[in-house]
Amino acid sequence: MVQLFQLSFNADIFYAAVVAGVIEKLAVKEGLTEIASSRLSLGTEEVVAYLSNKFSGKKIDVQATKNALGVQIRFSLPELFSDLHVFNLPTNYRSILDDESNFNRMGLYLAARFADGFFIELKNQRIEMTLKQEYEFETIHKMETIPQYRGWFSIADSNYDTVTDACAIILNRYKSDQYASVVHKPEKLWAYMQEEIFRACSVKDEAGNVAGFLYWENLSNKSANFYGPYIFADDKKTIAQLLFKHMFETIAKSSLLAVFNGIATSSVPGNFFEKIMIDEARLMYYRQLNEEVGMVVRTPSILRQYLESFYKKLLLIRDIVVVDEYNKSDKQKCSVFGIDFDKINKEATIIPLIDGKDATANIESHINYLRNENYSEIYARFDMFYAWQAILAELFYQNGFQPYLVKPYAGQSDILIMKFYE
Amino acid sequence: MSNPFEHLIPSYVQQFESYIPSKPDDELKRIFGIDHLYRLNNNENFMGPSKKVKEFMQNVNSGLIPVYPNGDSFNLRYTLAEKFGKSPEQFLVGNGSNEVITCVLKAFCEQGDNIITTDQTYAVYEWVAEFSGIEARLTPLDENMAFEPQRILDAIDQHTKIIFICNPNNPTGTFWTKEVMASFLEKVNNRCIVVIDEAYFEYVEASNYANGMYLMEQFPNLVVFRTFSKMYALASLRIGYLVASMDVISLIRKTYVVYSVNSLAQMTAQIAISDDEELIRNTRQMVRDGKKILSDTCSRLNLYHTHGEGNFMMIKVPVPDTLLYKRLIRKGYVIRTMTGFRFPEWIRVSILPVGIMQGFCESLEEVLS
Ligand SMILES: Cc1ncc(COP(=O)(O)O)c(C=O)c1O
Repeated sequence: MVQLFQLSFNADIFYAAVVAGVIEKLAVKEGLTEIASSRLSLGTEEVVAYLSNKFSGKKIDVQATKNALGVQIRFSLPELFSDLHVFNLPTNYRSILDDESNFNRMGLYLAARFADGFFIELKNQRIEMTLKQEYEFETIHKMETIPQYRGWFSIADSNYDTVTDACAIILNRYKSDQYASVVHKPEKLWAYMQEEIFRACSVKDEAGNVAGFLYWENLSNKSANFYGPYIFADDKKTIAQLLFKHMFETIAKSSLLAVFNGIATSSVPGNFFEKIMIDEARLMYYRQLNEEVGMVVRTPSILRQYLESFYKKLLLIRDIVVVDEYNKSDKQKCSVFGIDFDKINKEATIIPLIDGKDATANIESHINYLRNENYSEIYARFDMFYAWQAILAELFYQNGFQPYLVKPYAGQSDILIMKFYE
Repeated sequence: MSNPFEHLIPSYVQQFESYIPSKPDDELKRIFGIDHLYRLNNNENFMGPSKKVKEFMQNVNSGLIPVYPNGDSFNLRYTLAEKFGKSPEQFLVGNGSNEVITCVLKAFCEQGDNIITTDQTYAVYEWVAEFSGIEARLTPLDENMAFEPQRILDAIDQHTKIIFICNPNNPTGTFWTKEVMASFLEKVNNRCIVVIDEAYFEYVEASNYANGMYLMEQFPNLVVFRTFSKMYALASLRIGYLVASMDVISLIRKTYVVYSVNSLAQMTAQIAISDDEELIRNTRQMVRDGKKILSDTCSRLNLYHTHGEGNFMMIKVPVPDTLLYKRLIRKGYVIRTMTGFRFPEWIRVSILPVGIMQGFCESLEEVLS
């Protein structure tokens, strides 16, 4: 990540256009397309205008950075507990529905629509908002003629050409539900690899043709999702073994504690994973990397049984602490949830940032907002280390969410994913 | 939440992942709901120390406790020197051989330097290098899972300060013969320090094994590590040592923080080393018997396994190592998973007395079926 510039000012509507103008020029200079640059600039203008409106005079830090994927603008200001509700995207959205003419209050909602990515986090007692805009990555076509493989297979360097060839062959050989959309754009996959968000490994034959490909995505410093293995030659078993062996050797000394399937093809070798039926239809591949030592998780009583049966399948030791009771007067007035958008697959995950007395209403407004934005799959994510997140999980449950999956060791403790059903 | 003090530490420390050791036995028993637990994960000597050591332990004088130990294990060094025909000044005793690894690294390396070892060996050389900002060059083992001399030689450059050879290697049990080691040392030609970690020396039965203590006379850049944690069964006392030529030891001593080895450990080690014949003989017999049972079981179950030196064996398993760990601990056996050693398809099993190995083999068969 390279820093492009940093700027601090006291929130004032006057700066909105100025900062946006600078961002636009900078984005063009850094290689974003004109459209992308103006989207980023519009997003920036909305955020600054919005913050100026809500927090006039408060110091705002703006930082622009670039990486292999694109340009990011980060806005940060001290946590202002009384006014936190304004950081919920649906709050913004509601205010537009309430009052069409009130343009300068659309703020974060519009910014989120303009940019390729928008997310809110709480870090070191500051609220941070990041707008991301990506470079244009070329879409490739499938490889029409697959190479004739010969000789021995071995692990090879995953350079740019290998990755591109692998993607082109995947497009030929695999159905679209077997790969992620990034496979259409190997340049983008490569950019993720440069940023070490993705890692990949490939197998080649003696002639140097790519015969197998596997990549994984670091979800946090503790867990990763793998995609594949994609195998193009006949000797599927050997190639799958080589790929996974290499992947596990690579991550052996990292901070990762668990690997799951992002998208698993039918060639996942049984010796590397625990295979668990989550329900009648869904299979989870799970590889624990540490020796099981047990852990405390917190849950509302309503989810206890679900967790117990899940942990039993995975032979995990958990001290399940039920936390139905906790002091309501301790709660902030307003809750804040972030949203992780998958715009391509129209999936969104709600991530609780702060609990508050208005949580139930906030869940509803998030659901309404996401449905209106045509998100077909809505999830929520809880780190069961935290009692307050466990309590929130119960509210989500009461509002139509069902437990969907537990990702052991994926957060401070295990991560519970819940899914919204109409 | 990011750590507000993180900016205070060097970037190479920031990137380092701290190792989380196994929980104590009573805690493991509690969380897994079991009433007995055999540790087949730490390569300890289950038979315990020699009779004389046990006797000494029973009569330990509490008057020792308020007094500082001797700062550089004076008496023990004299005993070691006598035993190995060397000068007492050639020995440096540490709080486990882990401590002396750090001494050697601190003495010879600064940022920009590198050390060389293999990617599938005892991890502490690599760790200490990494969190000290020293590059750890890791060369692959050969197809027999042994250190590969040429790959190591090829990795040497003008910034290479130390080569770590684990002989026999933990976890593969492979070792270098006298010929291989001597030829390697000739080719290194005093360009850097060569450490031979002989933690499992006393278990080695192969007659052509390269004994570093002898080779040292010929190769002054050689440093040998030995420990009291393995064969001598003093693991909880934390005591190990290194031996080197006078030139080399005088440099390493500069980075040694004196008084790190407690009196009880020093005294016990002295007794242990003076009375080790029976212990070594009996322990080797136990290991031979235990390996036979385990090896036969593996063969019957079609499990590929190693036949190396040391009181441990590696077994290639058809399920994740961590899953096997979870299943076996519920039967009262703790094994070492090998993913962290970059052997994602293997487990390592320490050899215990026959009766326990039998029980273990039955459990292994059960959990795999
Ligand atoms: C090869 C090797 N070296 C050194 C050690 C550490 O020994 P100590 O207990 O003396 O620190 C071990 C312990 O497992 C080992 O296997």
